[in-house]
Amino acid sequence: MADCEQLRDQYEAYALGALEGTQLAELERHLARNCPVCTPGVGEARWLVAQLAYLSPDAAPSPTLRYRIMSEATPASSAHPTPAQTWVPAWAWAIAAALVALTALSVYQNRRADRELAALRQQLQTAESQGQQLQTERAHYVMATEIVMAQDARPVKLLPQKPAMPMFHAVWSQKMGLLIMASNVPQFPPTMTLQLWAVPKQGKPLSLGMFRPDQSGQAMMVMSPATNMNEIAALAISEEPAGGSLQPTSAPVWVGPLT
Amino acid sequence: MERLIQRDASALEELYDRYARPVYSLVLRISQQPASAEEIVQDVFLLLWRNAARYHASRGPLEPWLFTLARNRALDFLRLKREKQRRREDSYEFEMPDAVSAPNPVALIDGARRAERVHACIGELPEPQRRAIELAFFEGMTHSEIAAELSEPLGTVKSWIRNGLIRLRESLENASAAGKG
Repeated sequence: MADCEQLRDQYEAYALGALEGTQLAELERHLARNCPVCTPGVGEARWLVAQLAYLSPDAAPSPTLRYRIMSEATPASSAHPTPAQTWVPAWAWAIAAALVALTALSVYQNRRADRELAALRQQLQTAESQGQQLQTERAHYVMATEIVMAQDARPVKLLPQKPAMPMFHAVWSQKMGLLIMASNVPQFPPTMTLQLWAVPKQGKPLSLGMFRPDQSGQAMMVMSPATNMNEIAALAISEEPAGGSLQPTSAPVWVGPLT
Repeated sequence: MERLIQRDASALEELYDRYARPVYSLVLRISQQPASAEEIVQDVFLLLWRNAARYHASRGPLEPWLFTLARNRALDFLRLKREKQRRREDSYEFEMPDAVSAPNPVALIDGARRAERVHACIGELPEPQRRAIELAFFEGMTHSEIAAELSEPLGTVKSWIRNGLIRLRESLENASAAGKG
C-alpha cells in the first residue's frame, strides 16, 4: 500500500478527475480513512484546479437568466419581471386587485350618487308641487280678496239641508267672480266630492266646479265670472261621485238663493 | 451563506451578481452551447439555494467550491451528451462537491489577480502541456484519454499535468508573497 508521500504526487490529477485505474482506487481508499495528511492535501489540489476556471473566455449570460433563477427560487416573492415571462408578477396582481377595488368603489359611489340624486329630484318635485300649491292658494286668496273687495260684491248664505252641517258663505261679484267658503265641513269618502251648481231661473243646473274640504274641515272655492249670474236663481252644493256629474245625482246638501 | 441558509433571496441575488459571469464562462467553455450553459448555471444556483444548509465553512471558500460544482455539472452534461443517454433532470442525483481548501496565503489574492496569474502561467506553458491540462479540466478526460487524444505517452501526460499545476501553484504563491511584500 502506498504511503502519503507517494500519493501526494496524485493529488492534482485526482482533483482534475484525470486519475484512473489502480491509482484512483488506491487514493480513494486512502481518503476514505480520513487521512490527516492527504485529505487537506487533496482539498488544496481542488482549490488549485478550480482556479483553472479563469482560463475560460469571459462570457455573460443573458439578462433574463437572473430573473429566471430568482423567480424559480422564490416563486411567491416579488421577483423582478422579465419581458419573456408568461407568469403575472405579484405587483400586477396588486394593481389588478386595486383596480377591481376602485371599480367596485366607483360603481358603489355612482349608485349611491344616483340614489341621492333621485331623492333630491323627488324632494325638488315635492317642493315644486308645494310651491305650485302655495301659488295656487295665494292666487285663490288674492282672487277671493278681490271678490270680497269688489264694489258689486253680494253676500250669499248657503244653508245646510241636513242637520249638523255648517253653513257655506258665498260672495258673488259679476265683475270679479264667485267665492264660497265654510269651516267644520265633515270629511267625505274618497269616492265622493262636493259639486257646486248654479240653478238658473229656467232650465237645468249648471256645474260651477268641484271641491273638497281640507284635513281641518276648511273648504273654499273661487271661480272667475264666466257665468252671467243675473240669470241664476240660486246656488246649490250636492254630494256627487268623485269626478263630478253632469247633473246633480242627489238632493242638494246646501242651497242659497240669490235674491 | 448564513443569509442563504435563512432563505434570504437577496443573498442569492448578491451571489448571482458576483459569481454568475465566471460560472457561466466556465460552463459555456465546457458545454459550448449557450442555451445549455444557462440551464446548467440556473441549475447550479438553484442547487446552491436549495442545499445551502449542506454547505458549511468546512467545505472551504465559496468561489472555488462553486466553480467545482459548476464544472462537475457541465462535465456531466458533456458525458451524457457524448453517451447520448440524456437523463431527465429530475432523475439526476446531485452530489455536493467535496471540501476545497485554500492554501494560505494564496487565498489572500483577489479574484482578478488570480485570474491574471492563471492566464499568464498556463499561457506560458508549451502548447501540448497546456492542451493536456485543458483537456483534463474542460473536457473531463482521464490521463489515458488525453494521451490517446494527443498521441503522447501516458507518463508524459501525467508529468505535464502535474508539473503544470505545481507551476501554477508556485506562481500564485509568488504573487501572494509579492502582494504582501
